[in-house]
Amino acid sequence: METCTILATGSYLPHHIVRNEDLTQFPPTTTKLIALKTGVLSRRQADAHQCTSDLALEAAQRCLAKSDFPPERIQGIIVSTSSPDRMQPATATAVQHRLGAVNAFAFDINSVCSGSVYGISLADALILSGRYDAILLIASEVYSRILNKKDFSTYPYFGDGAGAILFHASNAEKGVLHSCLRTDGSGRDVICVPGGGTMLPFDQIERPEAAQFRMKGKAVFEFAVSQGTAVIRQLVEEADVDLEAIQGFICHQANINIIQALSTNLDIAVDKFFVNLDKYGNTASASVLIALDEAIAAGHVGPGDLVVTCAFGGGLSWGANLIRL
Amino acid sequence: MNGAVMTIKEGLQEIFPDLEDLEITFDTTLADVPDWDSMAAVNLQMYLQDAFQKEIPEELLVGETTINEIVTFVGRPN
Repeated sequence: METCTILATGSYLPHHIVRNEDLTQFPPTTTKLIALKTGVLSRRQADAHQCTSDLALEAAQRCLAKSDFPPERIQGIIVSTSSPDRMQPATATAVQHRLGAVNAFAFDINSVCSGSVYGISLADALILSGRYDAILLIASEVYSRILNKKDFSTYPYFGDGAGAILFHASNAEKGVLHSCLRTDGSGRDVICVPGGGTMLPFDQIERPEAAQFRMKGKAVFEFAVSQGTAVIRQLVEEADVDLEAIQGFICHQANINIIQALSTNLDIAVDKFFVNLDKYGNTASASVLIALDEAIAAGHVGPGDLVVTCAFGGGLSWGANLIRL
Repeated sequence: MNGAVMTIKEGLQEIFPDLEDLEITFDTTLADVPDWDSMAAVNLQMYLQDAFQKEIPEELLVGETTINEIVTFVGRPN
């Protein structure tokens, strides 16, 4: 039976490192509070000349280089982003052009921080349709451009970055085995950028903050812990796999306290959860793909391993994938 | 409404823009404000420092603090 397998992964983090102590717009006493409440010690920020497609392109090129895969053989490019280059057209179109993927269709998806797991499921469905055998999924975010620099409830959490996975059709007994995607639109105001769309157009915005990212931290934390736990349980139950059989958990790098709570709730050793949020902060939908790339490079997970990817974010949306590497 | 209370209310509404009909009295505690957490406390600390041109200790802005206690603190001479 044909499966959607991972041919290569890649990631790109901008070079500019912003440490907690560099966030001088906040009182000096908050440096330790950021680490305590989020686990974030530093984050990367895009240079002034870089936008979302620049980061996406770098991640894509690194991914393709690892597999020596020619860009003209890619049939579809999906870019997950909630911080696109422009309102339209899709950020994916810039990546398609600059990558030289002349035979690929390209479009964006926006499921905020869950975009990675939605994208994995979508790539899997496209390949299992039998019509495509090479799909490039990229998740790229430049949240430093959509945050309020003076909002302590959001600004310290986030960083910029991009990750990529090249999927291809294979007959090997590995790849994406199962996915669970969930949405609760009643929570669409919990995480949002209120202005700049058709609900509140730019010419009706009275304060710049209305076009910047906001989230209700306490509600997000409770949602992520409860639904992250539930969807991982649902995933392994539906796939008829024991949690103990999973070698690595690659979860959205939102907050170390969420990851520790997932570990406790699922009764899984915390060292099975890959963590890099201390270095990069929350890179929104890019976080799972960056973490997967780094987890493979670090040997945290490897060929033949069963891996769970899990993410949660605005919408509210959440989901998980079961993948054999 | 007391001017200081009004300023505090404006600060909370800026931090929590969805709370358009927020009602606060002298007895309201910060924990009574929906979505209040320790990250929001830093935002309120910065807002009040700007508004009252006064150093606001982080210990003042905990959940059990009442609006009256904040008004009393900002009303004290420097």
